[in-house]
Amino acid sequence: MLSDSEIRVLTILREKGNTLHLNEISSISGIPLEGLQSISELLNSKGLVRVEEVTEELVSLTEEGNKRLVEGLPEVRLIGLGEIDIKRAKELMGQDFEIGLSWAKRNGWVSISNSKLIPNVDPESANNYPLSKALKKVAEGGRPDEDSLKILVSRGLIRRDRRKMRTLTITKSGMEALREVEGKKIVGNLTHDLLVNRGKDNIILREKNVETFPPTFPIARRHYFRQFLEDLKDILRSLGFTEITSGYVEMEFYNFDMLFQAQDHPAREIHDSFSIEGEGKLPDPEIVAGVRDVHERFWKYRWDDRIAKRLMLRSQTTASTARALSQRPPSGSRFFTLGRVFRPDDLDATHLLEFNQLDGLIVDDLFNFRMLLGTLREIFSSIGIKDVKFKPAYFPFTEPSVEIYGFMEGLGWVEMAGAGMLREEVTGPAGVNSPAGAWGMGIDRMAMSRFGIKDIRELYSNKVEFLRWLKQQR
Amino acid sequence: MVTIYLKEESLMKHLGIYEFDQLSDFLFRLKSEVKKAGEGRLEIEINADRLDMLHSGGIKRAVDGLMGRIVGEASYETSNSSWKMVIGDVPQRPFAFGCIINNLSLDDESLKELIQFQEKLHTTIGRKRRKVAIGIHDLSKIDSGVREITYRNIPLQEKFIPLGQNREMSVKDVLETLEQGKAYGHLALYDERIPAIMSGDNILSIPPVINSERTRLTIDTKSVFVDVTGTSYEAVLQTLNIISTDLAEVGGRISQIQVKGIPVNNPIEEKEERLYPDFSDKKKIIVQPEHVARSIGMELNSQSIVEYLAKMRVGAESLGDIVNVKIPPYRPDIMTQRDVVEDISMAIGYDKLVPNDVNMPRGRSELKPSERLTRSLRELSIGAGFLELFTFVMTSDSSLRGSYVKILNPRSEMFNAVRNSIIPNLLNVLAQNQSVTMPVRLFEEGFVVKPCTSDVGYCNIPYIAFAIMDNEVSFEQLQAPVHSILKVLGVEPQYRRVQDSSIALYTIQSRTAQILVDNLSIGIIGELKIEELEKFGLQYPVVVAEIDEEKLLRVLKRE
Repeated sequence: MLSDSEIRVLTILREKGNTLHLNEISSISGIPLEGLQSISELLNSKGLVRVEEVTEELVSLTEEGNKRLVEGLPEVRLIGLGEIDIKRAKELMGQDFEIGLSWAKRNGWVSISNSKLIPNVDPESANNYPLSKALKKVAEGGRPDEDSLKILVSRGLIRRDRRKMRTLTITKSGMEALREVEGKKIVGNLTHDLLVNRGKDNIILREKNVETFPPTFPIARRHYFRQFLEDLKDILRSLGFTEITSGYVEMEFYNFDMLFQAQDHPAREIHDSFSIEGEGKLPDPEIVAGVRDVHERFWKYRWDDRIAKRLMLRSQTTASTARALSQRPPSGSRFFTLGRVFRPDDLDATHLLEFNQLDGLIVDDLFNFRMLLGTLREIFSSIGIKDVKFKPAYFPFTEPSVEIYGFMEGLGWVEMAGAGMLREEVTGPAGVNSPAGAWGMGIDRMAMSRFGIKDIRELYSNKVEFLRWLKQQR
Repeated sequence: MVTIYLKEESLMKHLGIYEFDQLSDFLFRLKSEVKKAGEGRLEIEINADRLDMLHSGGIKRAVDGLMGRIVGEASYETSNSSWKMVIGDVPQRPFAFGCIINNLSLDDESLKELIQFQEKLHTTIGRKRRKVAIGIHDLSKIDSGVREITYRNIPLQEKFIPLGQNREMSVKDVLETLEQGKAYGHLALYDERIPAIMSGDNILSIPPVINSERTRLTIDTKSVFVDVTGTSYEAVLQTLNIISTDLAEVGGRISQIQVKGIPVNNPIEEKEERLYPDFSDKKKIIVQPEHVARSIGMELNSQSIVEYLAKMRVGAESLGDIVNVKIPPYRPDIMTQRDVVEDISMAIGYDKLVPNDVNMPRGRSELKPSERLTRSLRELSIGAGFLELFTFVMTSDSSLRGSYVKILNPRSEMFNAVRNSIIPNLLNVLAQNQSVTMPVRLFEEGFVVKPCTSDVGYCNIPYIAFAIMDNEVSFEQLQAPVHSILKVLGVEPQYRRVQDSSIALYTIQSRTAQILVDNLSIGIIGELKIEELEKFGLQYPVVVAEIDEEKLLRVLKRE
């Protein structure tokens, strides 16, 4: 495809003679010489023109030549004075008198008598003086006859220079290429109007520079961590778990009491959870009485329902598990919940005030501790953690309890989740008689290692550019 | 988890283990983790239920069992010291016990460990000394003429030399000027009096505040008197048992004290008099092998259960169909049959319990309609050219309008409330991104918290909010994509100018529309007020929209 300027150059060549100097093309087309150099090379490489280097003599006026052009040559000026006393003529012409006299004599234009110059010719005849004409021609860019040239060069009025020049000659294929684009519209981009109204055959699309970088395009995309959470949910659904949810504002009853966490348990201290004003309504008295009983019997203190009613931002998604239990799920129930939990901390690269937890619950008459371990191994395997080991652990609401360690490349064994069989002190008051296994895990750290993130705040990033340009996980 | 530091060399020698990896493996099986802490010390994390392992004596006892070197319940001989301890009327911290441990050989390291043991018990079962406080005294420095210790409230004018001081101070001064006094004094004050452990007229300690300098432990100490006081009979007694049995594991000989006047119940009615510590009266748990087998998921009989428990240093006897488990004094964490199940599982080894195959139900559980809607909304929003955000639910009350949940004990002003709208989250993000390539088109889907009629009075409501920031923005720029999203979801919304400024909280009233579907307002779209732009520090105009997904779902269900 020919560019605009290529077409212009070819057209000029065809119309102004098939061969032209570059500077001629430049002055006709208005394209600067530097640009023409590269266009000519391009056309040459396409075989549309022939490029020839010629050495050429250029003639131009010297500084004195320019002066003579304006004033006239001294011999012409001399005869223009008419019959004149030599002394007077010398006064008028100064140094030029001698030059003028010498050339006027050589031309046979004057004779001298009694200290006077007497012209032999009419001053008008100097109008046809070849040297004057030659000077003028050079000034106009032309080249005079060789005799005049020699004389003017010897008189120091004209300079000869030799230089290399490039000429372009349009070739046969150049002619053809030009014919092909003849009468067509050259456009930058296709438009609807062109396609519909002007006939697509009359369009030539201008060549485009396709090698430069584009302007910035801000992409719209899913949030990587949010999506990670959604994917996790899907994995759990694929393992037969049903999602359950509950609110961020929770009663201590579900966050702690139902989970057999004594009211003076260190984890219940004021600085370990966010308090909310107001109090909640406890569930049916049977469950409350059951919870009171196990607390008082095993932890040996007076259980206070006012503490259980206090409101807080849930500090563990296990609160959702407790709520699910209070609904007396039948044998065969498999639940999970994934969501935000809140704990007072100082926000920095490794700590947040809110993060995401995943909790699960299996209630089944045939469930046991070994099945729980097997289930956990399956779950971790499904989320890409194939190597796990199980460590005995302690949680107030499970027994036996276990911590799951997963092997992560570059990190080694990382504690990933806690689990266990729910204590009868938890299931009993809820009226659940089947064995129940439960597990919970923090998601944020796992996601950090998955995404190679060092600062946990980036999971909830406020930085638009970071979110726009974060490398997509494949 | 509770962290203790022990010298590697002495612990390994004490345990008879010579490989760090082997130590690490045994501790792992005992719920603990160990790592090298430098300078020849180990950092060991002990699980909060295994208080007996806060001292190397307890660690040794447990490791001996797992290694099979010494199995079964550890029994400790006790002698009668002929010392008495008389408990007075101390209503604020009524319970006190004591014991004497002889034959100790302390060096710098074991003395340091003993103090660490005491402090770790204070922070765990002691609930930072609120529930239980421990005093350990050099017995030789207590006047043995009377052989009687008393525990009673004393007036604040009484004087003694507190531990670490070089002059006599009044109790009042101790409470007001010493660090421990300020930290713990309030736990003990009652009617301008404070409990004290006394020997004659000498104050040995004022629990839970501080001991006396007089009975300071040194490496020359051979016998100690331990006082344990507090608000819970069980916790105080459990602490005494753990301390005495752990010290017995490192060579100490337990000598009992006749304790008089223990309030058995609270309020005080009966008073009892007995020798403590008393290991003869053990709590028993009847375990059914069939239940244990079913709970763990493997074949077990009475005999194997007894053997496994022996490895955990728990005594048990097989009585045909049942197993009678005697809870050792150092294992107060064992409360029910279920706790026994865990110990058996640990003795077997969790790694040996993992089944080769579990029959996991497959097949996807169904998505709730609300979840399906959320997914569609997110997908369509991205299709409409909005970048997804995922930000914090907690925010600053200064960015919220209308009513919202306030946090009573915030950690910072930046996070002292729970969002009732996602718009402020978007505005905060926009404010921080004013030099990025424009336009900035954002959305976030998530929960806001609003008052409702639930048992806690608040509900999580799913919302989705959009914002566009550019050199110039207009209502229609956002209305168009939002309209399309709603349209493809199957609703044909109407727009009505808001009549009430309480609906256009962030936006210009005359440039804000309610999004109506069948006359139900499901959200708003509007251009931001100049004052709000200024409040959020925004120098570019912004248009926002927000939709209540619950209401949207309601109108979708009508069809």
